[in-house]
Amino acid sequence: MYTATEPSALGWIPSLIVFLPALGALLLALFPSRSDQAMRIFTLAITIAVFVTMGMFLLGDTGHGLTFRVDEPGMQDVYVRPWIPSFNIQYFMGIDGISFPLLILTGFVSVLAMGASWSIQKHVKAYCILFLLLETGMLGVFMALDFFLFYVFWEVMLLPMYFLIGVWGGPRREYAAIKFFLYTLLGSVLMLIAILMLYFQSDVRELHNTRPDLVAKLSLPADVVAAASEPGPALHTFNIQALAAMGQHTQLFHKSILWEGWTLQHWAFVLLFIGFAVKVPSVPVHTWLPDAHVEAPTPISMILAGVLLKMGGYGILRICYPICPLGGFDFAYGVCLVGVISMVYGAFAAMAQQDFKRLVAYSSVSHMGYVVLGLGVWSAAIAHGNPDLVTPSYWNQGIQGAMFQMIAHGISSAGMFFMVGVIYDRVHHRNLDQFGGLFGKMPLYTGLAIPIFFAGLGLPGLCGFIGEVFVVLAVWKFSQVLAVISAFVVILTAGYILWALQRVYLGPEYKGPHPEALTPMNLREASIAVPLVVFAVLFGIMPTLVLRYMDKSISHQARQLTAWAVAHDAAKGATEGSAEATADISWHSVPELTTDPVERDAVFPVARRIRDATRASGP
Amino acid sequence: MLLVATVCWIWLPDLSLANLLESARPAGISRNQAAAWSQMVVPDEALSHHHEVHQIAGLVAFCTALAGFLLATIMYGWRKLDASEARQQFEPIYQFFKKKWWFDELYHVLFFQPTHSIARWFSWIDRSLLDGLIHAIAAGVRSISRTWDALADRGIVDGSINYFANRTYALGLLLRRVQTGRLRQYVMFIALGTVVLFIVIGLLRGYSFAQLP
Repeated sequence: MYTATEPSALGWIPSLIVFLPALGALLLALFPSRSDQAMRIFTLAITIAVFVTMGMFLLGDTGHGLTFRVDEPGMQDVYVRPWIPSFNIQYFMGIDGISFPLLILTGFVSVLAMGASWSIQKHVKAYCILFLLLETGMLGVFMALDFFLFYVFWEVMLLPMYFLIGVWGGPRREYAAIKFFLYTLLGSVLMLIAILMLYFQSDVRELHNTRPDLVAKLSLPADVVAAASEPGPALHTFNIQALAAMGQHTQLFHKSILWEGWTLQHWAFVLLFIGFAVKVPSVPVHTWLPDAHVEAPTPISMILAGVLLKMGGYGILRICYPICPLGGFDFAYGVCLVGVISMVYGAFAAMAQQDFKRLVAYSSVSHMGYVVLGLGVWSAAIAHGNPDLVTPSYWNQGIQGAMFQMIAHGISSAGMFFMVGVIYDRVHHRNLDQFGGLFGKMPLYTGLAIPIFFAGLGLPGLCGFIGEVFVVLAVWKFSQVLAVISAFVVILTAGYILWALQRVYLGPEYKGPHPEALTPMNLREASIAVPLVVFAVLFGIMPTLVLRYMDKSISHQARQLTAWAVAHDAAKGATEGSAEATADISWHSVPELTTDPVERDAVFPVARRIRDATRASGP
Repeated sequence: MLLVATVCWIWLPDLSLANLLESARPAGISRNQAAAWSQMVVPDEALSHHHEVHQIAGLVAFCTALAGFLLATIMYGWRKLDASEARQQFEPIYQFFKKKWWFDELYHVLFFQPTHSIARWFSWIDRSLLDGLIHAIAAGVRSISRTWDALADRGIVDGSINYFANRTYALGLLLRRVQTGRLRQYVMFIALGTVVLFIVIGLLRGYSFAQLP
């Protein structure tokens, strides 16, 4: 990971767009208390403004520098300012291929969720302010590149969510809110421990000794870069790019702690992984999700499922693997196992639910299992039949599948929760056994709900399929058993979703309370559902619309970590590669994988040494 | 699904799923399956196209169809046999056919019920075990908090402060007894106090007021 180029003249826009919702929240305080409609419209305008600004990056180079360069793997539109200089903490924001699709998703889901918030009647001002603060936190998490800043934004999200669930939620809202808050806080505290461990062990001087060329490209403060070339006490940093470089290119984090073989990297990986796994959510730390989703109001459920869950996956990809590759390498099977268990567990648990929203919540658990699985499949392949060429093609495919699944699940899950919310607003119950025949009474609603639920099911042609199939294909090289189980989960998913659709939409008559309230969908609700359906279909038939933005950054990261693995194996003196992670690879050499001349030269000496060593010792 | 596949794979080696799929391979690759318990030979699928088998198999199939046609004509065309009598006479076979070979019930038992049982187990694990663990931890933390509050806060911290307050008040009560209101006692106190004051200063400054500090 590195910073691509000098920021352009308008490069400050993306990082400061983070604070536009917060500014809107501040302005909302000036509104008169009873002007509910005006406040809602103002909030909706703010969310649309954020989304449109992000969306302008999609339009390509309009000549103002306000564009996202798809062929650039490094960090773009970087905004760096010193924040707390005495601890080397910077206000460091940037976008790359991994965070950009998630930012667009955040903006999009926020607009839709605000549109769905029209049914909130009490304390509208407080609701809108908390909603905008939540959006600030979400945008900040995806853009923050300083670990301290990342942690601050991560925690900023918790408080608005607590109130949004606890005040505007269902019958057990206080229980669900405090459970969500304490559960995610526990994960965050583990993350904080890992942050402190890494911070106090980091040393920019050591990085300068091993890779002086990199130090200039990590957006560190100028005085730190200058001081790094002179000897002195350890120069700590929170900079995520710098920590990643230290984790991959130095021995700083290789100190064994508590028992032999468990280095600081292993501990940090485990702590960070648990912290992010709570958010994903992965089994067994997932039990906050059903309660939080069921009790939260519809728009908050949409945001929770559409955006907040993705932060766990984003954190694993951005932080766990680059900074602690040793931990990732050794625990690859564990990560994949957690993913597969989440998939199976979530699918089975969803089938047993009688509450519609709880069923969709467990389907979220199951689908996010694909994300964790895709991120964990550390496997490569021999390219062009040449045993000297190793490419991380399967892992690349897995990560791209995981990232696509995040986007697709954001769309389909937000859609599913919205659809449940539409009928709940009318009949005030979610009991699956008391529905039926909605197709006749609400035809447009059913016609829009069915594609969204099929997208959640993973029907080919819709967005949910692409991520699943990439992940399952990528797992095959890693572990065939896990791949078979993953494919089998698709059947279970189809089972519970189709059964739910049958009980709710099909059938001759509606067998529940308030049948007179089943009025057809109104224009506001349709205008929220239609974009979701459109994107579900569009991304299903043209996944390249999403993949083109993330391709370069993900490939770059996979290659970097593969190069690290080669060097790691060379250092261990092993020529057969690690047993569980690399099925048919011989970690011999990795030429032509990078276009960055400095990286290539850094890897080549290692590659040549391995080749010479293996040739000398025989096959 | 996996459960059924496992059953077929392990417990019925001769009629297993693997053997069934094997028999569909192209000619000459797989082998005939001989069932050990019945000495029956099940030829692989490709062999069924060889002309010696092909002719007889074709003839048997055709004759079966012809026999069915003939039976249908006897029962419903010429009305020589009564269908309802046949039904009563062969009641078990009739039921078997009517229930579609009990495939629906078989699927229900093999797939539907296990899946739903496992689904209920997982849901129960979530609600009772995992959430139960969380609630137990929460109850434990609350009880620790109550114990800590009683012991440390109210016991030690408040306790020591209250102790000091009590001792101060007791000292005040004690000192009240000096206030007798008797003038001669007060004059005695002034005189005694002056003497004590002189003695103390004398001890501190070495018996001479003229000494320089």
